[in-house]
Amino acid sequence: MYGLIALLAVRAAVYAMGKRTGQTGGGGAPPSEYKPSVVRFTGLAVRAAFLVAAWALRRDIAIEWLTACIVCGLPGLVVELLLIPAGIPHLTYYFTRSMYPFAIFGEPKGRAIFNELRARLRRGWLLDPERIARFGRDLVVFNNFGNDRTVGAASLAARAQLDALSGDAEHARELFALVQAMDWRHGSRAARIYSQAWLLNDAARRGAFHEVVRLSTHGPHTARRWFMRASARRILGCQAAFQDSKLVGSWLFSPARRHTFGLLRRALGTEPRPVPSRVGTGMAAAKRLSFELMRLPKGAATRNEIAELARIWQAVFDSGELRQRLTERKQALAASFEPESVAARFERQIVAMLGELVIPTAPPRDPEPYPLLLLSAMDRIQGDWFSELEALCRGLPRGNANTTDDLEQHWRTWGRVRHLTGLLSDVLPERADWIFASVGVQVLNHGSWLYNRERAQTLAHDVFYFLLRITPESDVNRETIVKNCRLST
Amino acid sequence: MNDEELANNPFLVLELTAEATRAEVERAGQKLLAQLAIGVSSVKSYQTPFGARPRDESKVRMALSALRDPEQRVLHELWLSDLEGDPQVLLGWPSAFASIGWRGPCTG
Repeated sequence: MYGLIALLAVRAAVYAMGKRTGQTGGGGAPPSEYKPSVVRFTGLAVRAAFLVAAWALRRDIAIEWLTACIVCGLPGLVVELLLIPAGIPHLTYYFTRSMYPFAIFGEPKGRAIFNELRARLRRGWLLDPERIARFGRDLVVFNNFGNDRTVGAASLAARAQLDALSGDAEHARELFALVQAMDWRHGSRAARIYSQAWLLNDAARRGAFHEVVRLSTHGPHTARRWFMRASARRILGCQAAFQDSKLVGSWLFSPARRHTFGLLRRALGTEPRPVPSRVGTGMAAAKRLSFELMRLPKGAATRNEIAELARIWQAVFDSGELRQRLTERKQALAASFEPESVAARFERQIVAMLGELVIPTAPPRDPEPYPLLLLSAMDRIQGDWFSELEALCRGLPRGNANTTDDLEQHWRTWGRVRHLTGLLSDVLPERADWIFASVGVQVLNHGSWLYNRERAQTLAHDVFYFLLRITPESDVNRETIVKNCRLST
Repeated sequence: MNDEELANNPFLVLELTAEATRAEVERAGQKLLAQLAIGVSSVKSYQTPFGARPRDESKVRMALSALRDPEQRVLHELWLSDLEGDPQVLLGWPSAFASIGWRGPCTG
């Protein structure tokens, strides 16, 4: 009785939320489908109905039926706690395919492949390239309705897993970063959490703890993220991270404690980094501090220390010490070079060095005004990244561009765009507004093209969802972006 | 200007000070080339403020060529440092992927 009531309630709610009609196709009836939010709600409601039925009928039915109802009500839990840890090939795939039909859960194939790969990776079974190559076929493609509603976070995470397994780590990172930042309405939490964990652990495995710190400022809020962040900051010698209780506390709440204990021990054993010496002013002091900071692990120098170094170098250039030294050397070597041009070349090298130091550092919460040399270094970084970003965005199809039907390529290009914008906003947050000013309209038009011409609605939503977060409140395009974002949800 | 470029400073490659004369530069370069040609193992690496780096004939020739040009030489003089010893290197966390249940091949 309770189950029947629940099913009727689900059906009524679905009717109330209504169908969304797609664009008219080429002559036939317009394709229609439910919005992803309706699909998601229906899926949750059906699961709830199974659980209600199990509870209501717990005394009247046999234990097998009761178990079946619970399994149908909580398939995600069965996959996460039983099938993936068991690591038996094929089992997870077929279980996911049967438990997540497209009509009520969406994204069945991608989810099944994602879970299957996770299961196989547990024991490393059946992972030879020939066996897993078939998973990559028809994974990120348009469906029979001509849209991309069957491609979401799990499909992209599966694609990224396949990239990583084939050794293409760069593309894998870009796709995992896309997945972890996806709107929850298009990305299952399991896929987003897994993507975040992969990115964090990949960086830690390479010893790139500055990347762990950077990556841990995004994505779902998880205990793993807090533990990895605290550990990485401490390993880098960040003064503020030396609180044992916080670190141990975050470890206690994080998953896979047996495996992460090694990282915890390493972090606890790290001593605070000595503050680099500042021996007066002048060229010798500037050079000494430069080398001291460059000899530190990447990301260990703070932005304020780099600003201090830039100030010392600025004083060297302003004092004329460099020109005097160059003039003396010119005479000693009986050479014909111009001290001014050599000084200018040296200044460019100093700016390049400051840029190298700045990239892996985390920006301070309350930045002081930066010296001119450091601002030049930031301009240089910005110029490099923006020139690649602008070239990439110029090539994005928009307007009346022909459709290509290459969904995977669209996602990969978008992954690259997001990677560059992410770097810019993480390293130079004070210049993040420039991203929209520089490429915002092109990206907006690309999103509209994806939605209207290519019918890549999930991808278009990701584009609008991203734009929504970087568009200034006062921008004239904001209203359009909000509308597009709602429409594509 | 990154640590690799600084570690390839011609003065470090040829193990010379900033005050070295042209004749000393030539002598040091030719001596290293001869030693490398007969495979003397002690000259196959050199010390830098960023740790030891491998040395080969092409590196020595490039260093010689850079120091023959006074403008380049002066720039490299400016980047010479007396700091010694190995810099801090952060090792990776080998069991990182095991903590997310990834026992497949590791990516680069």
